[in-house]
Amino acid sequence: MELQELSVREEGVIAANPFGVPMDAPMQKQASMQKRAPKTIDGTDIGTFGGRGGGDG
Amino acid sequence: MLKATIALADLAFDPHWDGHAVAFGASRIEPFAHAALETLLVRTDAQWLVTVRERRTDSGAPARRIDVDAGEFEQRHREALLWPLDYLMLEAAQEGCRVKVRAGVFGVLPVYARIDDDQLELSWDVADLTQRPIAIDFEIASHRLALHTLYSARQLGVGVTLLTERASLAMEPGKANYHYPPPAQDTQPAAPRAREQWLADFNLQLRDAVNARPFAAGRAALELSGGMDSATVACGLTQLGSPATSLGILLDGDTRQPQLRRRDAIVARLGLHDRKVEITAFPPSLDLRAAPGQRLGFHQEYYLEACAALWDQATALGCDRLYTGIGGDELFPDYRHELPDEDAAFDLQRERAHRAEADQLLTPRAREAARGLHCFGAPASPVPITALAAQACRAPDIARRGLWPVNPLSDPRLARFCHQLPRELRRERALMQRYLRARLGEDTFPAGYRKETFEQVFPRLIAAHVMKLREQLRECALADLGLVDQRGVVALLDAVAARQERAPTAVLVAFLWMERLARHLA
Repeated sequence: MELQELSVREEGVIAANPFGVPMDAPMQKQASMQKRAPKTIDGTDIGTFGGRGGGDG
Repeated sequence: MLKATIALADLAFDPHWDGHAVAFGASRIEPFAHAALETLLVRTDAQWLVTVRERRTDSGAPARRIDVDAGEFEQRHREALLWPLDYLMLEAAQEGCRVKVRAGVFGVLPVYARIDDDQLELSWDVADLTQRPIAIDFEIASHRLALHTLYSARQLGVGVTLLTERASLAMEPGKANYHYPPPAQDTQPAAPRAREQWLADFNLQLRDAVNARPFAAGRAALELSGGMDSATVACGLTQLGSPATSLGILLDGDTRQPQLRRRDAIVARLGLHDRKVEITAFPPSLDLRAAPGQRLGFHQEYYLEACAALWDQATALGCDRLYTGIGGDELFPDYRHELPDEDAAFDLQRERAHRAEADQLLTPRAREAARGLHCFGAPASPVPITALAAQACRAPDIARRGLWPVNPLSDPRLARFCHQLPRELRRERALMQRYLRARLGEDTFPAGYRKETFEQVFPRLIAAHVMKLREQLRECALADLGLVDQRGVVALLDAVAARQERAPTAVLVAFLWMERLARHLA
């Protein structure tokens, strides 16, 4: 298929939303800052003993 | 409407059109190549979207790209979401390598998704996503074997998700989220109007639904069963201009003559170019092995062989649009409070008959799973879910033949209009009947006319092939999965062969089709 490059608007604004399409804004350019869940099992724990996720108290 | 393989890391690259697909890094988004569709790529600083959608006119290039500023991008984004026909939109943010996929309202050729680590695969052909091993979802399988209609993100294959109407799937490294839309609004009765005005308004709504997409008589084929739904679409199409090609599956048995008379009358009255096949020449295959090269979806048209023979004829004639009557069954519903006691009792009786037969087939565990109320289904939709499910079932096989399915009676605006009608116009499709009488004459669909039905096809076919089926069912994939009881399967098969009744046949056929798929996936 050939690509047509457009620099002008070729269609009008469609304003109505009769069927409830969720109208989120475009995704933000910047990635959101997200908290990371605290680790309960660390790979350096030996068999998880003694760590927060360990079961030996 | 598209196929895509997207590695999230590739979203850092700028997308470009390579002649067939939007490409970035090693990732590709390939629109379904069809004259009924168009692709628009909109780029701005560090963000872009691509939408594949049904065309409103035949003019303009099938693939377009625009580079815009942030304000224009927001406007384009909004327009893409509110496109008045079906679409599939992907939106990407390069920062953080995030992507979101959105579906339109119509659900004509929906896409399935499979996510592995940071890779997203999308396809309108679910067989693309089941080439690798996949497990069967026990709960979904149990519901389907009990003949429950499901329309949900969750599918028969674990890890494969259907993007249902208006749903979105967002993905970023290490994280994926699926969102259903809010439920469609409840139907409110329409304001009263003069008796003839209803018919005029139905005519307008139907014309708009048929006219929403470009129509070229030489490229249009129409499924014409001899029933009211497809006849209504045929009348709507001939309002637009020249006659189209009509396609019909001719039935055997005692509904054959009424079907022939009605079809002939419609074809003659509307000047259609008619093509037909006999169901006896293309009976459904009862072979539990998939045909060589056959691509099985999670749902399959039961009468695929006969339908495919017609669709192939349409393609050979140069047609690329297939108009269907899907959605007609859902246009004139009864509301619960309106149902007379005897109708409600009939529905309940039929449901009990199916349940009794399914209970004989299912294992105790599957019975329990099928009786649980499920909370994973998609919310109420503008297009009724049974119409959406029917479209999803047939569309991939239609699309593989180069045809684009058009279902005017599944148009959400037409559905809303009809659902709001006063009861006397919905009951027994009274308004549609009046429309057809006005277009086709009083005699084509008289009150209480004998409807054509496929109901007699399977009982006879199964009775004729019972030995072969019993042989094939010595091993049973669904029994190995703990879904069905193998002795129950044989008992059900024998019951259908002996009695040829509706309820056991319906349960057996659902089982046979799923057994074929389970063997194929294994």
